[in-house]
Amino acid sequence: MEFFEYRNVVIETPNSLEAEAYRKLELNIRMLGLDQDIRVLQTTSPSPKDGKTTTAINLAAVYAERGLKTIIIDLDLRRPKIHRAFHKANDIGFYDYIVGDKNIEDIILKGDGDIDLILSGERISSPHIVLQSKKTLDMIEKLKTMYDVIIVDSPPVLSVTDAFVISKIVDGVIFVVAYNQTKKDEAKVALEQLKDKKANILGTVFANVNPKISGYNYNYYYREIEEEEE
Amino acid sequence: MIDIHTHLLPFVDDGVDDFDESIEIIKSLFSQGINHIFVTPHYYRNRNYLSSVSENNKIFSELKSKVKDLSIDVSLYLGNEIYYDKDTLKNIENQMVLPLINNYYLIEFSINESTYNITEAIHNMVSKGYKPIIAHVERYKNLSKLEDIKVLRKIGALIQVNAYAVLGRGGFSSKRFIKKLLKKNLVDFIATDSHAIHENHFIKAYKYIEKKFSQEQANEIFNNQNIFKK
Repeated sequence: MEFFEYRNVVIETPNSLEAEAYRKLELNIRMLGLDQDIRVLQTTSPSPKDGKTTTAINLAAVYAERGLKTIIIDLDLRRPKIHRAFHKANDIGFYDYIVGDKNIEDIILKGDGDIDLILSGERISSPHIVLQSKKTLDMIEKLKTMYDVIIVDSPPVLSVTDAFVISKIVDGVIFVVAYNQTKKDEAKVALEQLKDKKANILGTVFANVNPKISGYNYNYYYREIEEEEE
Repeated sequence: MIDIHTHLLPFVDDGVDDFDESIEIIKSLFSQGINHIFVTPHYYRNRNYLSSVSENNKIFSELKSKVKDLSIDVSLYLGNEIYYDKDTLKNIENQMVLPLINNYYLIEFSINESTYNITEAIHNMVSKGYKPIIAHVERYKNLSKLEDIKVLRKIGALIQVNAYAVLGRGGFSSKRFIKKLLKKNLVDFIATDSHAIHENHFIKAYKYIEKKFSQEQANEIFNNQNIFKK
């Protein structure tokens, strides 16, 4: 058992190098957005604990800081984490919209730093089927009219098919790997699988880098996949 | 001293059969030095122990008056031992279950509950501002490491162990686990969980801890009503 502690450095230490790295990530995504409309972003990673949730919440904080109306949706319906990161009880969320009679407006919570949230709520059986449903698509479409940016936290690629299903309903995927944690082979396989499924992979976040290690100026850094492959 | 976990309310759960049995146990607890007793009937959907607060209150009043007539100098309090399920937060909100005092709730899980679900439950309760006390922590198959208990306490849980388990009546591995917990000061309450007339587990557990650890530690754990004043 581990104690989950998610640091939102953009909110907690806005002047830190780490926070600056997330601003750089946002800028890079914005550059990619010159040619395409990127407003619905998915964070995923090869395996658990690679830093996708931390990336999601910090990136959201950058958007909110820029004055953009931002929401995070926790669609990791098997091991949801956003409620932990924002110290909320997971007693209302996506489940209540899908299964219950709640409207989208009723399930939106306020998080720190002007970030809105949709938590997972009660556990849903067969998440991969629910995620492909019209109701889920409708939710994303509706949220697009309400928000400038939508960040979708999703399960790891190698565990279940959910991440692929989600990749179909977003504009782009941010692939997060963690220094000293993600296995190289797993990262490769996960990336291949995402590509096979025609996911629009925007780039990779290299998380968990210790800024004290020479050669890295930032705790997180970002570059395009194509660049990495060259 | 206090006993925060007993099933001394007749007719509502698998505890005492009638008032006579209840009073006999109260007398015994009193003779062991206990002057504050929490009566904590099960609220447990799967076992159909769903006696309402008003029902419980009615029986509780009768019990209290009988105890008063006999001039036994103990204070009785009515609470619940709540089996945590997906409705627990709603039940607390709707006052269908009672705290021990203020916002302290005695909760239990299935003995096979996963560590993930247990931490989720504790996180959810703490996020709502409740203070969960995990009943008979030694029983859960998946909580067998000190680290697990440390994490649960860090999230905000308080830890209760059963007096008879301290003495080894709950099996050798429970006894060994409790000993480790006591060594690291990870136990907040020792309670009798009295369901029926039993030997003097409480005072025996006190003496055991006094002998194996120290009088100071024994006094601290068995007089933990101070926690409720925080």
